[in-house]
Amino acid sequence: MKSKSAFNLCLVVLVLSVLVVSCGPAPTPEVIRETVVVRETEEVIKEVEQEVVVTATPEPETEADTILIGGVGPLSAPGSYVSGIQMRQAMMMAVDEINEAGGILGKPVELVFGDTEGLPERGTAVTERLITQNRIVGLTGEYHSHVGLTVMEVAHKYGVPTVFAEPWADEITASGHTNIFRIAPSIEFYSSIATNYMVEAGWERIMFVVEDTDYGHLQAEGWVEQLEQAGITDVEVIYADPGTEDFTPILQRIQLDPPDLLAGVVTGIGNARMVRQACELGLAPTAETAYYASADAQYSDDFWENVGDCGQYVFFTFVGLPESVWNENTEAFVTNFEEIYEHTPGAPAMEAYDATYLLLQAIEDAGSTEPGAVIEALENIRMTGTLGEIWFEYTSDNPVPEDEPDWMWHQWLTPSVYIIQYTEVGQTLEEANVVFPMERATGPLYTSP
Amino acid sequence: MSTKRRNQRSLPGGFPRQVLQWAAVAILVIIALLVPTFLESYGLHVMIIAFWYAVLSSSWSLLAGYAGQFSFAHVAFTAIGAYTTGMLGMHFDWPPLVGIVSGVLMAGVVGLAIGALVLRFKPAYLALFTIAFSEILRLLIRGEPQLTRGDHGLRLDPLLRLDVTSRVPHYYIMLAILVGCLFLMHWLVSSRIGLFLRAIREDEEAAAARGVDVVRYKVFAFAITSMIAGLAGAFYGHYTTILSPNMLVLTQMGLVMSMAIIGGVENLIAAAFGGILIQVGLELLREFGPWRLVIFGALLMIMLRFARNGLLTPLFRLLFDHGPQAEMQEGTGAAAEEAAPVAEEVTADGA
Amino acid sequence: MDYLLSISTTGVIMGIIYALMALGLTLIYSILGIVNFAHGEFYMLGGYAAYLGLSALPGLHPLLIVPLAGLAGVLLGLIFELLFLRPIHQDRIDRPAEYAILVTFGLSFFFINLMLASLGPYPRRPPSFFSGTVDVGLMKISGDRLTASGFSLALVATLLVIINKTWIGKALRAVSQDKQAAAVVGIDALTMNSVAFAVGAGLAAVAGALLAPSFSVTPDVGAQPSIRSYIIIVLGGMGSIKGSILGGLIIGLVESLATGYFPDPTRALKYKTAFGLVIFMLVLLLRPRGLFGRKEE
Repeated sequence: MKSKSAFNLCLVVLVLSVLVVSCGPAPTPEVIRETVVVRETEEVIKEVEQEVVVTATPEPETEADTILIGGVGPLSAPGSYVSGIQMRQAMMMAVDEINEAGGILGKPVELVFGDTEGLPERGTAVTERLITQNRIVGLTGEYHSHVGLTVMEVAHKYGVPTVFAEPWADEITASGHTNIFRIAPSIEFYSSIATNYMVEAGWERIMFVVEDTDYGHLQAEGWVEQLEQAGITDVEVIYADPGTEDFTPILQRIQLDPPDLLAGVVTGIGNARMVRQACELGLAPTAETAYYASADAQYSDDFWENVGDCGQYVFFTFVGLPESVWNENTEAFVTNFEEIYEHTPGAPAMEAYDATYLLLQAIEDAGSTEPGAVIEALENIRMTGTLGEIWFEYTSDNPVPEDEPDWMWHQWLTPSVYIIQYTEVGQTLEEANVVFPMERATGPLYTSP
Repeated sequence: MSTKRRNQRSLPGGFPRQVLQWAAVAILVIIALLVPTFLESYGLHVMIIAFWYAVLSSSWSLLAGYAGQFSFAHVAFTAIGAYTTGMLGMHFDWPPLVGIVSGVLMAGVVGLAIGALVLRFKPAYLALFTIAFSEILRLLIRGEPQLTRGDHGLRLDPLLRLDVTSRVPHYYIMLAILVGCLFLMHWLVSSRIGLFLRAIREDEEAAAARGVDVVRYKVFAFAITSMIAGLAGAFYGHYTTILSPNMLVLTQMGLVMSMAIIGGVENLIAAAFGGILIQVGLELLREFGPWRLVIFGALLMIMLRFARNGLLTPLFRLLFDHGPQAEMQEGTGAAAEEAAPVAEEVTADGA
Repeated sequence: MDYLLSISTTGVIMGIIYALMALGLTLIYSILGIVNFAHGEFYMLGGYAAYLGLSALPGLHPLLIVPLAGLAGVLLGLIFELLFLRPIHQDRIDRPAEYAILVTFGLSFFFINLMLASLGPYPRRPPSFFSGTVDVGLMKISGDRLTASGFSLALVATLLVIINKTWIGKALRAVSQDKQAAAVVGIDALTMNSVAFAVGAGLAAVAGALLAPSFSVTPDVGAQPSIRSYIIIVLGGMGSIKGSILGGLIIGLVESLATGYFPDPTRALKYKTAFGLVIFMLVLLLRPRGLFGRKEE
């Protein structure tokens, strides 16, 4: 009797829970998006009106005997501190190198780094501290797009020249702010590389398992749209809690009718878990189903430690230069970084390093730390960094043409974004095949198991 | 009542306690009012956030220390206040002030409901239930970006159409909220309600037997502290102008609890100061990265074990003697004894 | 049908490991009367113990590290119990229930940040127990997972025997049922408290070490397993050993069946945790003693 009522209760609970979860409102993202854009435009207009008053507030101390620049990035949870910590290390390296070579404008350079913790509200507060209290003359860094957007607003309010290293959201440069520059790929550009690759490889049924965060949403939305334009419509996106331990049940469900390509866009520990679980089930990577991993796969030591043999044939998008196209800056950077920090630098580190150099180079070119002069110098800069030759195509002298997207403003248009495939177990990032874009490829388009 | 009697007693030096009390309050108020003259913009920001934490830690100490309900959902209620006004602004363009009022009401209504649900739970069940509630709320906020903007962050209009650079008005508003909430809560705990709450906490059945309406007061305590948290959250939202679901992570709740405990969970003002001191301390020690949280965790456990009254309570008890500690020293159940005649009085009045 | 079976297999395999962890929590609750809010962190430390142990002793077979990791958990649990929990039962703490919640929560905060500060946020993984997969006809199961599940099953069975047949098991049960009566027959409740907490923590550490090769370890990896364990013990009935074993299996099954059959696959994983939490809240509200809990007096 007793156990029967217990069983009934279980049943009721089950049914109820299914109801509760499945009755969630249907998604209608498009509508909301428009309102937000409108609101942001209004804000931009408001800010432009305030600009005259505000830029006068914090006078950068041009008389100061050191040149202070600010860095922002996540150093603690809930931010992606793995990347944030590397970014800070790379920035410190850049500053140390410049100081050893005699500094900028004959003065030593100092970096003040603010921990944004992956929280937009911290981004605002920290940036304001760097600007009003530390009186930095230029700003660089940030990893998360949603934090980058708030950092951008504050930096714009004070007119501080800012070179973003890693946030991808199109809105960052699409804001059209005069003091905002970016060397990271915009999300549209970043996603397009993988899209083109998928089209080229001829996969028609694609299944994305994407983490339910800003990072995941931005990418998934981009892919679905771009793939549709390319005529690939059999695309499904499954959102997952980033803390998911076991993907096996959903992978078994996918296995009922395996797609041509399974993409696991989950950061950190989730990436490794999903690679292993898909492989152990025999779902992917197999001759039928290819596997696309998140960018975390670039940390090859950690990747192999966590996925074992399962990492063979996995491919991923990499922002940065693969070894085959390294220039001498990249080589020196990677060697020094590994020597100092005993860890392989990832793409965010390279971007942060180049962004720091770019900012300081511009101050040197401008001959002063006056924001207007630095911005002008940035608009005209051409510098070879670890990522290749960096410049900004569309500037105040050369506005973005009507038919080009807004994010091209103050944006490095040819950031190096590659598709890399591990073809042997235990390969380092440098040994792995560059498979796309084809003109830079070091191996076949796709090596199938 | 006896608390009042005790207050009128003199200190060993022959000093009337009341004089000292007022002097201390006056000094604190003057310092608080003068802070903006010597702190820079970022310093003020830290203080505003510290006041926000102080509202949370002191109201949690009312709920936990006085009413004995160790809820893990307090930060969730501050998020309810903040997200209510934020979402009303985003979807319906409601002005911030109306939004804040709605946020407080929403937190109150949900607090009432949760308070009624957890009424009969043992402490461990209550803790687990409120953790579950808070986690579900976080997952929903993150999982439904078309409503809440999820991780991307929900934008809110600034409360004042002022330049964000001038933090001074926000500082005074948050200070006013803190002081106002402290006064309200202080009044509550030194009134009959506070006495009943303590009686319930110490021995629920005895209190009920003596005529205290246990249900009403426990649910009331839950709802009122939720509203205070909601108010703080709604203002916090309009101050930072951006919210993300990460404000609900469990470590935030841990932080608020630690603030209350390190300050002194059985004294509202000590708990508030715990909030301010710890937030400022964590900010000053930012350079130490994760190690500061390690030390903080160790400190929390040691405090719990060896100094249940917190670091600040002994100091504050000297001045603001309204904590239940005094009664407890006279033997458990004293509050119940005290509450009995009052409760009978109330019942008689009602009849 | 094959699909149903293979999804259920996944659920049962995980369910056994879940049960092991929940069993530790139940043991602590039934003897000490407290919920260990640092249970997930003992799981996490078990994973790190396996990783660090195997880095230090590379020759050791990975399976042999599991008992060692369990031992580490037992020791840590014992130290914590003696320092922070024993005073509760010596009547040196007022409001013990609240104290226990807060002090174990403080411990979890401490452990997470300690590992973060000392080892960093990088995912770590000890070597596989047995590499490769086993084809059970329906599906392939990884050797690691099968080993972990088998080990858990054996451990759960051993524990049941110990609890039901040996002197210490009887003493534990006596204490959990009636402390005063147990004291009369000469059972030292304080010792039993220490034993229960240490063993409970050790079980969590074993679960952590068993799953580390499958799921890897980071400092915050304990959150999901601990929340799941709370769900299981509430579902099974707080303090019921039978309940926590069955509860573990049920939750394992529910998690995989819900993901496998949820009508909208795009949301199936997003609310996986929320799904368990809803069940949990409903059980607390509608039937607080769970499936097999003792009736509250």
